[in-house]
Amino acid sequence: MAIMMAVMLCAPNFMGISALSAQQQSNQKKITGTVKDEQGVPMPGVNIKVIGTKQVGITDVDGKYSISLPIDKSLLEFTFIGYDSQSISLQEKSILNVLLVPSDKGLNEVVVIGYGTRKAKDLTGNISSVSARDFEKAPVTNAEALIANKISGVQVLPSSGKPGAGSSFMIQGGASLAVDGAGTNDPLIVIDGLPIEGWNNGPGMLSQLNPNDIENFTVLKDASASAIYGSRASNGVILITTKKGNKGKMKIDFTSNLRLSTLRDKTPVLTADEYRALSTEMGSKMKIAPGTANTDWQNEIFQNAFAHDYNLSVSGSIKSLPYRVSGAYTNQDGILRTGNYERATASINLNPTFLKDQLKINVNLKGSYENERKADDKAIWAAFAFDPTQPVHVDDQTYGGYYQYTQFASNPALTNINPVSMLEQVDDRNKTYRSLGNIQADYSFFFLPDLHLNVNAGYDISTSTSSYKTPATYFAQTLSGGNMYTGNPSKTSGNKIFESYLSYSKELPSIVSKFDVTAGYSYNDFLTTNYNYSSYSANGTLIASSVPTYEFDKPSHSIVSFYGRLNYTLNDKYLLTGTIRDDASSRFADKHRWGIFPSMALAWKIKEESFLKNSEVISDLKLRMGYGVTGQQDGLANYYPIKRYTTSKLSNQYTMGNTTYTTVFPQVYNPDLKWEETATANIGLDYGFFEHRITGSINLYQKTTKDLLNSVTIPYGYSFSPVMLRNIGSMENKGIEFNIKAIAIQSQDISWDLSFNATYNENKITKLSLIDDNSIGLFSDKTLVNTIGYARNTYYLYHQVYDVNGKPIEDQMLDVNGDGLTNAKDRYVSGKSSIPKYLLGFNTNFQYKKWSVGASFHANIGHYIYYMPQENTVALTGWTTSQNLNTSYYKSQFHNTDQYEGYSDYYLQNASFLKMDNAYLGYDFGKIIRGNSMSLKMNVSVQNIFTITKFTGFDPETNSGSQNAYPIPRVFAFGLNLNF
Amino acid sequence: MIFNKYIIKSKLWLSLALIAGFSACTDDLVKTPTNDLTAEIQFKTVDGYKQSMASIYSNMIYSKFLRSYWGMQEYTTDEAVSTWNDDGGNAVFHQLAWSADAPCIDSVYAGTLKTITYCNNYINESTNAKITSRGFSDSETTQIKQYTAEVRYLRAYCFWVLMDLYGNPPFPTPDDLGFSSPKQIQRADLFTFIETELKDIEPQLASPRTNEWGRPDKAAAWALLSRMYLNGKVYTGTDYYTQAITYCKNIINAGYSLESHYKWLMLGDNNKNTNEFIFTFNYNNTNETWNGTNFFALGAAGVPASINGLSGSWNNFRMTEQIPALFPTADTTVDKRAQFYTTGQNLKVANVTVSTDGYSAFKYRNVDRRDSSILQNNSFNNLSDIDFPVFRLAEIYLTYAEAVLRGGAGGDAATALSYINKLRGRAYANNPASTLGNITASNLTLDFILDEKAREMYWEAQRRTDLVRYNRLTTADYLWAWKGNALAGKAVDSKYNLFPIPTSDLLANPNLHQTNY
Repeated sequence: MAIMMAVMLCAPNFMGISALSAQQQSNQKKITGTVKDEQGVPMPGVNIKVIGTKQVGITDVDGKYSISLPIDKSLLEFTFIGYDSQSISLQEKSILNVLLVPSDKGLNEVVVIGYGTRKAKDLTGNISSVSARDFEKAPVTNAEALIANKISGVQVLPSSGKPGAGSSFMIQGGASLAVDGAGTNDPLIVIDGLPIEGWNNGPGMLSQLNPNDIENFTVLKDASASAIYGSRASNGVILITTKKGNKGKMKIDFTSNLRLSTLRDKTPVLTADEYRALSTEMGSKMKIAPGTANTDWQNEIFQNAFAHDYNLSVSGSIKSLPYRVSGAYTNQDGILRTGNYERATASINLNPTFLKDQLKINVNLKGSYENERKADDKAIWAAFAFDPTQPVHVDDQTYGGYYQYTQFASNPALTNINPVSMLEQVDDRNKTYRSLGNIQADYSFFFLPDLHLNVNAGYDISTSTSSYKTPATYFAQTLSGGNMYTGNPSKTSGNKIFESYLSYSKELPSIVSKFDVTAGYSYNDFLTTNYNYSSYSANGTLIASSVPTYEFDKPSHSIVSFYGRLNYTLNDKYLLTGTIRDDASSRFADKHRWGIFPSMALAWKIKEESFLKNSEVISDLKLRMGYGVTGQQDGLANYYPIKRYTTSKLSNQYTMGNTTYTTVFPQVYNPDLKWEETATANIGLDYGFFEHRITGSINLYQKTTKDLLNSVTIPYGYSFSPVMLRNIGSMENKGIEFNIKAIAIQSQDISWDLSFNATYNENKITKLSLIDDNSIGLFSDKTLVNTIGYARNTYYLYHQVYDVNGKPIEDQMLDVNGDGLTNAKDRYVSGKSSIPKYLLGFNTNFQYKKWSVGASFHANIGHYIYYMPQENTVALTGWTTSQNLNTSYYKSQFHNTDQYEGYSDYYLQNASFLKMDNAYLGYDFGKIIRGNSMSLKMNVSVQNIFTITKFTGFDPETNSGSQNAYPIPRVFAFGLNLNF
Repeated sequence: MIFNKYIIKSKLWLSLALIAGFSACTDDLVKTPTNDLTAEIQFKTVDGYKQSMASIYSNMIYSKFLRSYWGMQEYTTDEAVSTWNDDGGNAVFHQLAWSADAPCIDSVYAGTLKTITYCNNYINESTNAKITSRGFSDSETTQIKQYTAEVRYLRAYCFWVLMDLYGNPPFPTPDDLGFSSPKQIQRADLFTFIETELKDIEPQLASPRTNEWGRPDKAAAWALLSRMYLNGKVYTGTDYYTQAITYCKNIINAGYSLESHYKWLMLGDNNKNTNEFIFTFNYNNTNETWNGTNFFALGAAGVPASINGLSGSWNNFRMTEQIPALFPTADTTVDKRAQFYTTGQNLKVANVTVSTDGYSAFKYRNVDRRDSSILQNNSFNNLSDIDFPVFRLAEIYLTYAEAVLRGGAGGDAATALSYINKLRGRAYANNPASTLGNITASNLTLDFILDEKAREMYWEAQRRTDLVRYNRLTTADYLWAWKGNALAGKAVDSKYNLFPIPTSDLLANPNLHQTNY
């Protein structure tokens, strides 16, 4: 009995076929064969479909299949994700062996799209896909780095060089205004069907994913593709699929990397001798007399940092249950001393199928443990500004032996703190346990196999512990005698998702059509609990002013959606897709809560037309047109439409007479807040030449965002804060995107490919709904304005006046209207913003026998950054202590308290750049032990090799003017991959 | 086979259940914050109204307001120079050279308008309709009306600050809140509004000297009116000296009297000065701020811990040589108000940013009347208990005298002289009745009163308003060290009698217009 059960489970087809064959033997034929991959390895789990029937099959552990089909049918289709599908006509054969080739942007590749999959050739939207094969070549530790530069219109922005920090993505210029509280430019990220929200406090969520676990990245760029995700899709959607188990024999993969990170450039500040010379000039006006030391503070705080990581994955199947289990460990020091990040992850993928493949289940479970010691990045600016003539250490141990401005012991907040003490005396740690997972079940109804029910239930939970400790000798906290804070737990989160959809597909050969329709529902709930605790001084005494008013807070929001999609194909040449989604978010008041997001796309597979079908020159030509509406509600505050009164800290009470009152204040709110909606229209052409030796696409798009959300300055007296989040108007992004990939050489021993992508994007505010006619626009901060006809957040500045030698005349601005006054009427809308006009990327890979080498570059052109270094001698004479200057002082020679320089265009710089991101050299040892399948690969790579730019600030890509920005290091890496 | 049938059947039920179970969890879409309150909860009880009223006072008093306001009133005059150029570059105050872009002019503007906004919100919550709908009894309603009157008082005070410093500020009304950009109001109209408002709330305010410490009463309203009337010509072009005298008399007749020792005025236990103080901003060392009276005690250059009762000086502000010259000696041997700290300090200010240039003073000290340090009930060790007297009787005496000399009716020169001599009796002998410091009727001139006010009230955020009234802030009639950024002082454009509306609000509020800046 047990054996019979086992046989039933393992070879369902066998049972099914014998059940049928008894009845229909006379008009059925049986075909058998083996499916192997390009290396001759048998492939289990390959799906086989008899075109024109409901008959399906699957290859077994040895790659063998056996399928019955009606005599009049002869077309079999073999599919497997990541490989080009094959449609083969049987002719007279009864044994059909098939070779499947991994798809390399192949058109038969099956691509994951929202709530389903499609073959690449049947896509109607602007979708790009990158799979594991494309990124196995260069070892990386971050999942985001995998798609860097490979997809046009996608900018990967490294957010900082902090160990474990994630990057953020921006697709096609960003549809909305990402200013505090006003949403984000981050696309929605969906991992194995589970949409993930950003993780506010810790490193980027994608950095917690092991890059070796990723099978495929698909980017849905236009609204027709992403509208199915409705209210969260305005910035595009990235779908990530992780590797699944396989029904073959067990495979083990081990990768190890060793990395060295180094600081690329220091910020040029005065040396100790230059500082001494300048202080002699300042004479008695110096606040603090210079010392005799020669300290390079940046050398004191930065270091060369090592990182190592290991990754082991095992995939195979137990009985007929395919599994993939992986574990990884990474430990990374930061280039800012004392910072360290450690992470261990594990993941399990189980992909069983039941009931003759009518029920397919994917169980994806991931867990991670992160342990971080944070180095205070305010030490970076402190190092630029600290007096270089003072020593790092002194003999006096009162403050731990660090040089400090002890004359301000009664209020250290008035001075600079020794940057080395900020790193060494502060122990700031965070530990997070996180698990996310989902079960996806796909059931095809036994009475109607074309009807599928797909259910996805998922969770994302985490718990964090944080601690912060400084000793009583830490000067910055000498008033409270040091500080000890333990948050156990500091934060927990529990997010859940439940989605379910029905899909039905049908072929109607009589009208050479096929269609499929999907309808479904999604519910997403997010709950975070933040805990507050008191702080204690280093000797354990309670710091009374730190007692929290409330022990915890539970911000929460949820999203409920209904969606549907229809795909219709005529004659395999003309494709139509329509989707609609109705979303509701708890972040908006009832009257603005629901939004409808429709889309439609058409595609014409020109290549299938008779005049091109047999062309040898053109191997692919598809014209796509689409229109869709998507929304934005990510990154917003949870309760903004509600008028709330918040109780202040217990240390902020007020006494009247003999009674003390805790204080309560109303918060700024906006009951009219609504969805931001972006309508995108695009037209694109996918092309391929010479049997896909050259492939690529061209896309033109126009995105119009209405009810644009932004945090803008409001008049004093209007509400309880000078800024408010509002729907301010409309914005337009127009552009053209081009990409091309050429396989220059493809032979037995040599291959060489090059790919290039370019996007031109123009961003413009087209309508502002809350202003007067004679108003300039709506301000995001003191120099950035949103004004009609210009890009969002355009700089609004004075024209600096220069002398005959080109040196700026301090605090003198052009009196544009000649009225003898310098005021806002003399400022001009510069038309310059921090959004690049051109995004370019290039990469190339060359392989000769066992050697491979490659490089990638990218360039952003046409963006500006406002960079104002400390270059005024007021820093030495006018404040509480004396501070160091940037060497740009020698150019400007500013000495006075300036009123206008903070708004001068002298500090606005073109930050266009060309960057060489990465170069690698790899060697494939192949099989290293005779008779064993173990193979070894090795590579070395360098990241962030050089940047060519005129920008004089820290980094033209991430800067945005911030001088505390953690610098992105240059990384040298050595990696080994063992496979058996 | 039974097994198959079982699986099939359960799958069928399961799939039907799933299809049917598309539960629209739409109730979950209504989310409320965990810890915050709504207006209905906050204003359900009389205590809730009182707490909100105290909160509005607390917000202003523990914000940057007092320190920044003091800076605008003192650094612009002969009474103070700043070592640090803080608050966004306040060196321009002493130079009398600011622009609408200067960050340092924004704090007081933003702070008073924020308080006014909170007051408008409170007024909206205490309309007759709201009170009735919340079901309060008659006695509760009377209490709420009194709290509302006290909130309206603070709003009137903030509008006075705006009128005095900025001239034609925005005028947010309770109806504007959340709906429309405030309109701009002209100075004379604002004067009329404040005057009407104070007279309107007067009946609902407590009788003088009966309310809790820190809460305004009728005398506080009279004091603000008397100050406004004294400066009425600056605000409106018309004299109001008679009205000034009327309200001074109201206060004096309410039973206020001078404290015996001048040095007790600005100590940590100055909540004992119930005879002389009319309205105070209260500070307690359990609450953290670096912008309250501790700034006055710590900022005075040079003053050591043994004197100021805190942990030693921050060495920030000092005075020009013009102030010590107003006293008979630069120490307390003759006039005890000359509380100069001179050790290590030069009389002359050769350099504005050198903290040893210019005498300092130990007027503000966080000690008690026996000179003992007050125990710090916090982990910072530098918070103060010194309450700030917004109005005190000494100012009323000086206002009375000046208004009489300027021709106001209802008072007489002899009474004025007696009041001045009370101030001087206290100053010379710790006894207002003493004749040790007496002056004669012929000494009592307008110039004398201006000087006497400096002697009595230096570093109490009064000086700029007085110099403007005498037309000496910007003109060559009175020069002091580094006025107009010249060592000997020089005159500046008369536009500097007023501060401009900050550029950021000009750009945000299309109803505002600016002249001269």
